[in-house]
Amino acid sequence: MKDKAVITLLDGAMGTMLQEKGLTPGELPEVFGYHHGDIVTSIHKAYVESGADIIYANTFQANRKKLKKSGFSVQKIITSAIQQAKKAANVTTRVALDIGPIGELLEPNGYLTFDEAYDIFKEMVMAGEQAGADLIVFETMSDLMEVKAAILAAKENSNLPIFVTMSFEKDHRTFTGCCAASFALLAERLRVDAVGVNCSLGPDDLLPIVEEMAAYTNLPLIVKANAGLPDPLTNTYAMQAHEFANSLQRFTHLPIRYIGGCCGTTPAFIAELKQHAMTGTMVAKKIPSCVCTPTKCVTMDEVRVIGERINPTGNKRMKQALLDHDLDEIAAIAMEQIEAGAEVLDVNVGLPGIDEKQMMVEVIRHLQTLVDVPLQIDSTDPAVIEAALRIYNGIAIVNSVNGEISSMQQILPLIERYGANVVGLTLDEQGIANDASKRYQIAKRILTTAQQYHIEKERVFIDCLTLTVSAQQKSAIETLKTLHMVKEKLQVPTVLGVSNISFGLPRRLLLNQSFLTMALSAGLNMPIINPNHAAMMEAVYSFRVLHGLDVDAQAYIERFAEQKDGEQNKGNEKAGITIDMAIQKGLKEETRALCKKLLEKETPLTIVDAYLIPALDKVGNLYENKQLYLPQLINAASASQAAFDEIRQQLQRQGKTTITKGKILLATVRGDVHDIGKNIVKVVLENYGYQVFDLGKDVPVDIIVKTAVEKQIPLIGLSALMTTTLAAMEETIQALHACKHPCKIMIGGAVVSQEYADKVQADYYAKDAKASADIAKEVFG
Amino acid sequence: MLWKTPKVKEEDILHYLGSQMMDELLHKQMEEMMTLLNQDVRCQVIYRTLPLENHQCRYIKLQGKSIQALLKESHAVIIMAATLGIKTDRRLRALEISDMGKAYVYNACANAMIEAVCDDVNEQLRRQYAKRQAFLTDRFSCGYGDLPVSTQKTFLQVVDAERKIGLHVSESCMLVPEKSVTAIIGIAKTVQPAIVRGCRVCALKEHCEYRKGGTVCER
Repeated sequence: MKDKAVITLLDGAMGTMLQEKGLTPGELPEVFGYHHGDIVTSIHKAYVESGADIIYANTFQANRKKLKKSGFSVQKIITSAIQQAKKAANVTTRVALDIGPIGELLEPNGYLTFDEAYDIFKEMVMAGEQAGADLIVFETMSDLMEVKAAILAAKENSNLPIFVTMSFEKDHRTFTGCCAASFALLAERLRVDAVGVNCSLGPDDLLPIVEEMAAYTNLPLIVKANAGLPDPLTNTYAMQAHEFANSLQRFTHLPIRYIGGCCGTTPAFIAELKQHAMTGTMVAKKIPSCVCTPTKCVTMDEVRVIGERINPTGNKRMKQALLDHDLDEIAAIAMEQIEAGAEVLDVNVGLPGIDEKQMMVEVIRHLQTLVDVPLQIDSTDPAVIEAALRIYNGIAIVNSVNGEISSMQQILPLIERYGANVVGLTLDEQGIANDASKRYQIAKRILTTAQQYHIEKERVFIDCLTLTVSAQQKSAIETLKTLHMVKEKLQVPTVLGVSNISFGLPRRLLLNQSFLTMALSAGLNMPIINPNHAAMMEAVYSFRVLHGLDVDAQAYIERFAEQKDGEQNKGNEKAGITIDMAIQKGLKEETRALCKKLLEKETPLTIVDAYLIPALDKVGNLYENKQLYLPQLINAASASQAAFDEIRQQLQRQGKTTITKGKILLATVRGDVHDIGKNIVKVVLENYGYQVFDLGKDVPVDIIVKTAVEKQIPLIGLSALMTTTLAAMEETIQALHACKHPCKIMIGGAVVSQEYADKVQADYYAKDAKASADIAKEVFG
Repeated sequence: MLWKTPKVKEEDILHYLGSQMMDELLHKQMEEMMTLLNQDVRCQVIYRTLPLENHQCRYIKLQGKSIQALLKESHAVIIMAATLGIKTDRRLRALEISDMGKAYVYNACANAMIEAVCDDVNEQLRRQYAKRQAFLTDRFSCGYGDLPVSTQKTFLQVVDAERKIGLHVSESCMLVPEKSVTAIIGIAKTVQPAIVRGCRVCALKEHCEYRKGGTVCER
């Protein structure tokens, strides 16, 4: 039959077989294999004889991290393992270099950097190709960032075919939360040769997961299932070979090309598969237009709001955050937009005096630890775009390319290499065309050129450009016309920055809202707007109802059920409450509202000194006397933080610098990653008006010393939570003393005590956040 | 294996909050954060039994007096590892930026939950072994008493925790995801006394500020 494709058989478990031959728990199978080459070869041989066309060499964990203590080099183990496999191969058997996860999670889930992971894989890939492997298999992956590092390392350092499989749980997610759709999409975009699943579950449970993957890729699929689920106490698998093969028959409606076994399977399982002579289908389907992160896949068949606030242009808060290198503040801006309804965030960090490339990478990395919406990389510099795309975890949008030949030549190869989507601006060497048909022609040209670079149509999002209506009144209509033509004739997703329309006119929001509705009607998918403006999101929600996208107006009702017309901006004030009481009760919104009112008559400094600090002191005293406890103290600090936000924004609007009563450095020492305690201290200290330089967690000694000296910080706070990291704390204190930088040192954390502080010559022991504020008062007077 | 998310007792959360007082806001936060936590957690558990020979395990070096005391009547041990998954870590980091008060409560809820998961596993194992006339010791974790924290790495290796439940350990013995526990439980032929948890066996009991402040870890 024409629409059927033959399935290639893979081998079954190696670990299970080695355990039967004497591998002990905790022992590295690769080292055991090195010493027992005959055992490994005999296992491979059994698989070849049972019908496996591709066998996986015993190299799963042969990376430099795992082999560190073994005394063996990566090359030595891999070379020997490939040879052992080749000995068992017949003329048609292909030997795969088998590569599993490194064993440490990558940023943002863990602490291994992308570059280090890339380098670890590169070493394995090069050793494998040199040793004569026929293909590279990455399997049992759970972290999409690691998958990306692995694929890039293989593509950029070898010419071998690449197979990738991840391990999913019953909820269709890997341990790190990666969904099947995002994995399939990324593998497809990075042009691997086959993609699929292995380990974790039996065939029955894997079926719906593979079905989900099949909807997002046209690549050949791989299934290497376990022999059911293991008995937790004995770690043995109950499924029989014929049950396994029968169960896999249910996969034949999918484009499956490779089937084998994972944990608990043996040569008997492969022999049974061989007898079944299974086939897969040959369907080529249209893959939906998507952007994604590991945990979230956003399709472009709906209106999707792109938040525009991570951009310093005309945004003083963002500008200040960039100048202060305050990544948490940028993350806060991101979270506010998501809360308001943004589904993608535009990220632009271009500011004079800032190293855009480095900042872009840091911001993206930080955002990806905290938010799960996809990002749009907004820059004109190809070097910045490439650096960002490389470490981006998922499939991003690049904003932007335009119709100029040089722009397309620089940007499009990057889009192809990293599998991204791109925004195409409808302008070219001649600038912005006035009439719609010319803009449409440029859109068409961008699309055709992109396809020449093998970028599929659904990956190009056309921006028809918004011009300021006060300067060029006729242009608004032309933008809408272009949108309509692009949508009708090219049938690609569209994106548009909306807010420009109203520049220079009063009631900007009114014009923005009206233009947004018109643009959505004309075919706009992705408006780039400020989602914190309620009017804009209201327009989006209304459009979704009127356009039939929001079925039964469910989302609309959920959002607006509690509101009545004319009551949208009702404040959160409770009658008769003072700011002092609001802080003590931890009421954030009330505190914010009261502070706004105070700002009408008082100076910011007066508010801090006469209202906020006394309120916090009062709470602190109640805490000391056990009339309040830590949750209440922290809630009070959080409330007071809301007031501080208001004050800071007011100062920014007036172009003034923020209030600071002194500089304090905070860090959780090297090796320690528990930092909630330090972060509580930070919130409290900031609310007393101190400028806190938070270096985060796992901070090396030299970074702490360097920052203290460079920024001339007189008070250093160090935190450690584990006995294993106390040594790093002591080392940091010694280094601070040795550099003769005049400063006081306070230490804290679960395992720290006054006795310990005395012993390691710290100046203060801060038993809690309140104590750290008292110490700061003593140091700064 | 995926483990059913257990119910968490309010008093346990208060214990981790270090609070002896409940006000309206805190109550609201606890409810809200428990809901969020229940959405975020994916409890994963793995355990396996290993035999002991002369109170030592072939695959794990069990150092220190406290673990020897615990296992003095045991002929085998269960090594267990449990985690709430990576999403709780991410949520906590995000909350620490947006609202520290909520973050603190979420953290306490997560701590209480991972303990509840371990208690659940313990109870299930206790029942299973009771049927075979075998008795379990208390659950003992690395860093309790004088059992070195570094033993954690071997615990994870013998249960293949990276692969089976996605639990990793950093070079300085930190577990990733953070809300995770590894532990050892002895199996004996006689009823085992419950003695090993709480302040009495804690290496930090002399200097612990919580203890000085009157908060004790004994249940």
